[in-house]
Amino acid sequence: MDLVRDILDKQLLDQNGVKMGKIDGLLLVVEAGRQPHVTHIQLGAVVLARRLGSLCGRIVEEIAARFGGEERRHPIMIPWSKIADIGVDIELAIDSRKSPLSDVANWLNRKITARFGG
Amino acid sequence: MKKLLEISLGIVTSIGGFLEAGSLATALQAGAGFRFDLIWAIALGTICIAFLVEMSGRFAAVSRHTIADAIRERFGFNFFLIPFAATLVVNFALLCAEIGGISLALQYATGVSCRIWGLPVGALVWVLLWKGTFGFIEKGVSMLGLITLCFVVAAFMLKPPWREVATGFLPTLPGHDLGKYLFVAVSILGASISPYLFMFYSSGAVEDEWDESYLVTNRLIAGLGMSFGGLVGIAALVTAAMVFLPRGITEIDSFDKVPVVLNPVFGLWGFILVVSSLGIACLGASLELSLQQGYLVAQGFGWNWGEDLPPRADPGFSLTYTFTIAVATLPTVLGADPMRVTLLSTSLTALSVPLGVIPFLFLMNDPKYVGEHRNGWIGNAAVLFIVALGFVLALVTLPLQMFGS
Amino acid sequence: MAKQAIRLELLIGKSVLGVGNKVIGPLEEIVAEQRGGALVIQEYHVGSYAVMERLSAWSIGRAVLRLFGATRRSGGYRVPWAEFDLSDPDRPRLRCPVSELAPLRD
Repeated sequence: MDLVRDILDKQLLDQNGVKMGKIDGLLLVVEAGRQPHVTHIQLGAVVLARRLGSLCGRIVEEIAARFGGEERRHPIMIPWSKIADIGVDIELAIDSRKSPLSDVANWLNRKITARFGG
Repeated sequence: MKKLLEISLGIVTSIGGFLEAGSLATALQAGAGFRFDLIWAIALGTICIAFLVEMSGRFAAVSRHTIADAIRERFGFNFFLIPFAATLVVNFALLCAEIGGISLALQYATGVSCRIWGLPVGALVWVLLWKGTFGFIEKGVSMLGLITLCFVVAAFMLKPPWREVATGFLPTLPGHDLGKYLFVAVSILGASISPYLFMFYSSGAVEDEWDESYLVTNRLIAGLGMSFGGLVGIAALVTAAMVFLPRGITEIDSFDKVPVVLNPVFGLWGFILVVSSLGIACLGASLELSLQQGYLVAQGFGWNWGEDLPPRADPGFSLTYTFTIAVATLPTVLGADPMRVTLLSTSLTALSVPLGVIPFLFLMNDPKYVGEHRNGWIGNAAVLFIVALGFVLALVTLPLQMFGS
Repeated sequence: MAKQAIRLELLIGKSVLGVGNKVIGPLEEIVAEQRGGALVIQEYHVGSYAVMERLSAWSIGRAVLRLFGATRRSGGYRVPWAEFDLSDPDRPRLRCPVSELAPLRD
């Protein structure tokens, strides 16, 4: 498969068909003598910002760390082994409600959406 | 049978939803300032948006993707930012104008200043989206928009010289004020070909779960709906030409001149019809624009989205439109003149339309997304030509207008 | 070379260097294969009209590109994974001469 054409920037779905963001980045592991392989899918504003430039990446990392703590400085990583199916969208064998991916959405719901009867 | 009902509903929705602050203001200005000479601009804009809307529906039905989705997926995030940013800005400017339009309508109806109506209007738009479903908003409000047909009735009752009206379909140069003429032409094109119109249509098609069996339905809705909608716009132009021009009113520089335009035909009811048309048309556009901002951001980043979902199922989407509506009330509240905001946003649109349309045209020719339902050369050529025309005219006339007025 | 973790999305578009630090072309595409639970890289596509693939409206694309004066460069190359040196991720380079590479069909 062509990674740029078929994988990068494509929609991710969890096992219930809930949209989980797009594939913002891919982690490649390279070592001497071995065929390079993709180990993780990467998600997050920090990944996207870095694609725009290293300065942009650093700024967004700082903002993320300030609002969400040090761990938010790093991308969300999903092991490649979690992929269930690759088609028009990429389906994962994960329940998004149980994963850290829902953290921001849950926080928004608690603080804002629920207050207005959403 | 069910499809027939859908087609009828779709056409009615398109007609009811066609007029809004921009198309109304520019049509009235065109009629008052240049009689029937600018009918060709409305016709050209309508043809272009009909093509784009049909492509948009076809794209969503075949690829099961929305346009914003597909632009990021096909061209990558970095490229996507360009049409994304341009469309965000233009949509926002338009939304400010529409909220201004609703507030003005309420001002004319009640005598209370539109600045006070700004926040309540924003709250109304928000509540309808927060609590409503896609079907209710699309069909319900657009059906109410049929009130704008009062312009069509008025245009006939005013007995315009039909031969001269027909000549207006052919582009001519005016006898006076070339700069202003071209500026109004550009504004008409911008009001007709707003990116939110065809992007929203693809999101709607996905919300309604269209598939390949809807291709004919789509063609009929886009073709007939937009064409009849364009006729409403032309009717508004003809009405303005027959009412304003003979009375020496050639400049519609404020919406304040507008509410009496149908009085010669309907008496006091004319006032009620115009004010209602303005308010309802702008309400429909506000709802669509707010939703489209939400769609654009949510689809670009891959978040969950859907007007039929409760807000807690798609908080990113819901809070995006919430935030947009809140900020878009500010110009009205702060006293910005709705007419100036409207004309500014239509010009901005004409300038930025190529950024949204060109990637979309690439997608419409990509077999990976639309399979064998690719664009024919006519569609490509028509859209490219009209969009390029609008862009060039905007480039030429905007500086003139900015420094002239 | 120790184990390296590289962000793939940042590699795309980088200029690939050949022998003598000569620029061969941009890295356009990476072809991989699912083997068991792992996704292994087979080859890299360099300096090709894979960019045309991405903007794949053929008649429109060519017409627009011609309009903007983008003339045909030589076709691209397929680089097998073993011949691609990523020890410096900012400057990817070939391990073999260009003449040994298979061309990319358009």
